[in-house]
Amino acid sequence: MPHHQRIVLHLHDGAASRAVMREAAELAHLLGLDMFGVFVEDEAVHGLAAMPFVRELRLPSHEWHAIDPDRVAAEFRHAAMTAKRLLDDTARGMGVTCGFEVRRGDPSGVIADLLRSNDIVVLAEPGASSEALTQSFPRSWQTATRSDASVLLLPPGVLRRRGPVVMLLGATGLRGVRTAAQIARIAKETLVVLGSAAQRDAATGVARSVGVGETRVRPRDLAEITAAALQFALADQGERLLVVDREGLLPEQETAVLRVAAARGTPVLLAGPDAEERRPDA
Amino acid sequence: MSAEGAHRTTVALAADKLYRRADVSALEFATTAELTPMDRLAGQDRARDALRLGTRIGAPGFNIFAIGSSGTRIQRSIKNLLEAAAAERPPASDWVYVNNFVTPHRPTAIRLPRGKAPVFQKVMHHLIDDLKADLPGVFESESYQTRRGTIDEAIRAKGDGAFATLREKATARDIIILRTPTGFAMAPGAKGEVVPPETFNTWPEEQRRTVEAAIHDLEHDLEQTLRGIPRLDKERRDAIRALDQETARFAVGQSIEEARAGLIDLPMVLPHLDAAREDLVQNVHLFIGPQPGAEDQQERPVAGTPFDRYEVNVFVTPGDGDTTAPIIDEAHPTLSNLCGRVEHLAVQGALVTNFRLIRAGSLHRANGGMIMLDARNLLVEPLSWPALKRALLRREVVIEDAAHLMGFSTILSLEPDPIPLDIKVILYGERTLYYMLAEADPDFSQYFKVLADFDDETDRSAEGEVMFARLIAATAAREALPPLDRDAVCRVIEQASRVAEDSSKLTLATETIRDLLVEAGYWSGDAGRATITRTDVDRAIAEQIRRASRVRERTAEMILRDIALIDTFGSRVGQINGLSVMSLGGFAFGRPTRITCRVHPGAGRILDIEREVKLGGALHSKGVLILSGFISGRYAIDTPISLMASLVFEQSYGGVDGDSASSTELYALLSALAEVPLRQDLAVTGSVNQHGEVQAIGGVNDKIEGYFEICLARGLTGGQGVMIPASNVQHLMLRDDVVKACAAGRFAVYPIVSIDQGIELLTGMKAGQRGADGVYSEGTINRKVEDRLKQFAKSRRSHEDDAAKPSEVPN
Repeated sequence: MPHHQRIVLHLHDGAASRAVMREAAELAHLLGLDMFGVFVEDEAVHGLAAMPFVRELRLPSHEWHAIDPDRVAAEFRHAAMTAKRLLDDTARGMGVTCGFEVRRGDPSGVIADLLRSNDIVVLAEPGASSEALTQSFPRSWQTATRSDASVLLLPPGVLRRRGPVVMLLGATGLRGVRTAAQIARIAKETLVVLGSAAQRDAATGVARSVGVGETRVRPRDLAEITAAALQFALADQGERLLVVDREGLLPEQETAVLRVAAARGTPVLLAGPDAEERRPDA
Repeated sequence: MSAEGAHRTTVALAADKLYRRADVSALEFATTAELTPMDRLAGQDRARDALRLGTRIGAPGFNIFAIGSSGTRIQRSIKNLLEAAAAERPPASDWVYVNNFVTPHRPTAIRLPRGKAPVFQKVMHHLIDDLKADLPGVFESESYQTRRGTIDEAIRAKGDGAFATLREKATARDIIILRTPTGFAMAPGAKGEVVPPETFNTWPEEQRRTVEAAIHDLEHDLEQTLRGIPRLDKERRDAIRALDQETARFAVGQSIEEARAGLIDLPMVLPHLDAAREDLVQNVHLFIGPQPGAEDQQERPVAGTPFDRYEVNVFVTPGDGDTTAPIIDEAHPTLSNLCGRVEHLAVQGALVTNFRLIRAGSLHRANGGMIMLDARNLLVEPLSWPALKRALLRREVVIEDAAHLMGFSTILSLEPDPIPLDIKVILYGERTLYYMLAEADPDFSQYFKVLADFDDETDRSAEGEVMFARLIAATAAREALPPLDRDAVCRVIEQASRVAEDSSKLTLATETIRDLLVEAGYWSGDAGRATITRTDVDRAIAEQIRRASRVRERTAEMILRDIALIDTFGSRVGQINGLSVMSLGGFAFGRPTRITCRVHPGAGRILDIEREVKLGGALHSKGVLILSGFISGRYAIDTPISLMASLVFEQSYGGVDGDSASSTELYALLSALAEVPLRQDLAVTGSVNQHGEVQAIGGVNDKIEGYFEICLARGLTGGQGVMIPASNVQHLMLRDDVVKACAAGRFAVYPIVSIDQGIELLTGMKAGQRGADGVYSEGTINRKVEDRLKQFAKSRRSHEDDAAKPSEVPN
């Protein structure tokens, strides 16, 4: 069994929308995991009040205001409370246990400290271009992918909530297959295995071991991991989730996979280096 | 000859005058099974012609008001005729309501050829089913996703480019842009990290000023860049909407064309199909779910599913087997039952509706045909009568909500298209309703120009009896009863005459005859007969009477136990047996009542005790006042009447009305004045006029039978009988036992023309005539009466003279 234990949601900047929480909660439900939300109050923002020449452009009025430390603190508290309430509601709706914590500091640093190898951290690709200003997502992405945790990357618009689970086999073997198979089994979906013939047979065996019937496993040949090949392989699949082995992909392959998945509106679960292999019999 | 002075020997009526037997010898049949049935309108030629006229004239206002003594009877009678008229009309159209995509609160009505509404509904339903299956696939297709991804990429690239430029510009000047809880801010940076305030404050003044200037410069850029976001978002939304619509237009177009092929013979629905196509394109998200990236929207409560907007509400369509114009009989004409209604559903605590919840009223269902309405039921329903008039005036039906009309409700509702109305309205009811409406509603004649007045009875000629026999045959067949043999038919005809209270008439109360036949059929079956016989009809009549006879029996028992005092033998001065009829729940029976009179000198007044205690009705009082006129005219030739008489219905504790006892009261008065006793073995009925002529009354059969029963119970003496107005002889249809008793001389019915004739029979004395000297013969009743009145006058004058003498006052 996969050894994942919790799904971590990074709730800084109000980044986690209801849709993101729902995706995370559904995955937690399918894998039988807990959810854990962490709201990070950016220490740098708190520090701005000490620099009187710094002003804040407030949205949506687009008006400039001086930064008042008390107001900033109150707004952080309010944002945290809102995020907690939303998370609680979503988790309750899916029947998932949920924890929540507010921390103060550098967001990337907080997350880096928090993540464990048996976590799945959820990152939502920003839909609004303005988020690119702050480099917040690239920093979070970098932190997550440098950790041992698995990463669930959600595109701005998830197109399908039903459909096969696609397992993209990389160079490192069968990492992530158990997770993908378990999701397919619980969600009563087909497991599509993309890879070489030998890899596919092995993956089918793993899938069977977690209870996915042979008829529910659909192997497909994927000679090379390029954007074009992947697009061809996924044509007409209507997949709900793409699972890949993060370590098994070359950087350019990872870029191609993420680009194709984003274009298809498909969430991607990047299995971390320790995913599943420590406790194959668990 | 004037009544005054008439004298005749009064002979009891022969048995053949007491009951008229039916004669159907002109008709050859053994049982009614051999007779050609007659419709329910037999004998109603006037009404039949009126209905025919009304149903055939198409001009506005020529609606029919059918009146008679019973609305129910009319309703049943005219159904056949209306069905025949409906067959001559073209089939009614179907009507559907569809969504009005431009103004949804005003659903659109479409008229369709008969029977086509369900076809249209089915085609639209299949269209939506197909689109539900097809559209998601189209929008998940690779080609769509690729195009959409391209749009997203292009727009995002524009935004990213602008923000990347700003970020690079900021980075180049060691400025870092931060996200605050509600916006953005810029801070000094070094090596990609924010410089904490305490570090920044250690920087040289010049360096700090440079940073401040850079932030100041960049603030403008940040503001402008952020202000561009909505434009980009809109650009993206527009592009995706255009793509969605283009994709949908193609996918929907194909299905619409297939639907159009199925509706090629219904050109009137094609504009709606085009509107539906446009709406489908605009609202394709209903079929493919929310757009990616869109936040959940708070959905407002709606009735039904989002796809309902494309469905068809089959509003009016004929039922299976309906091949002619509709005839609707609306038994409960409330406003909504008549004009339709818009129903609402409670969804999440709100009342919501849509065009699919519009329900047809009976006017809609009868459109193109006829509607029958019970006038009484219509008039007692609030708002229904004005609504019907509005519909007839405007020639269209508007669905109106009673609560809205009366201001009780402000719930948002629909205003469906009015539906053009082409209808014939047939109101039916009692005559009084017609006359009341004609009097009270000035518009009434504008809407109901045809009066169909149903006769209550028909002549009992030979042809009439034959017609009635066929009517009986039709009723028996319709009610699936055993056939009636000839004798049974005759008995029913005779009973029809009895119900009409006239031996020369037959009732057209078909409901009453039907009931009799049904009950006779029951008794026939009970006796194991395959044919209804006279015995069965007799039994049915007897049982009908028995079931209702409890009060009659108690009344008779009171008399027989001498609780209610009625003498049936001997003679008494100023006392006579009158006869009255009690009607209880449709059952009537006669009973004798003792009437007494006391006289003494007075101011010329006949005191009606019933009136004095307010137990007498206006007609009864009128009858008593007529007595004064008779007395004054006959006896007070040269002297004022100086009579004080009191008349009373003994032991009468209910109201008394009608003048049918006025002759009886006069006999009692004459007896009291003449001091001549009256026979107590006779009972009397009949009204009288001021000339002493005895006039017809109602309920003569019941009255005779009521007295007969008392006499029979006490033992018939042969002297007992009833005096009736001679003009009532034609109404006699007496019970068989009464007729037999009369034939055997044990009871008698005397036809009376005048008071003189009656008083002679009651007293055994001549009434008397005035001689050439102007006075009545000695020893006659009239002489005695006049003498007594003179004596009263003299006595009164003497009393008045005494009163006028001055009193002797002692000095």
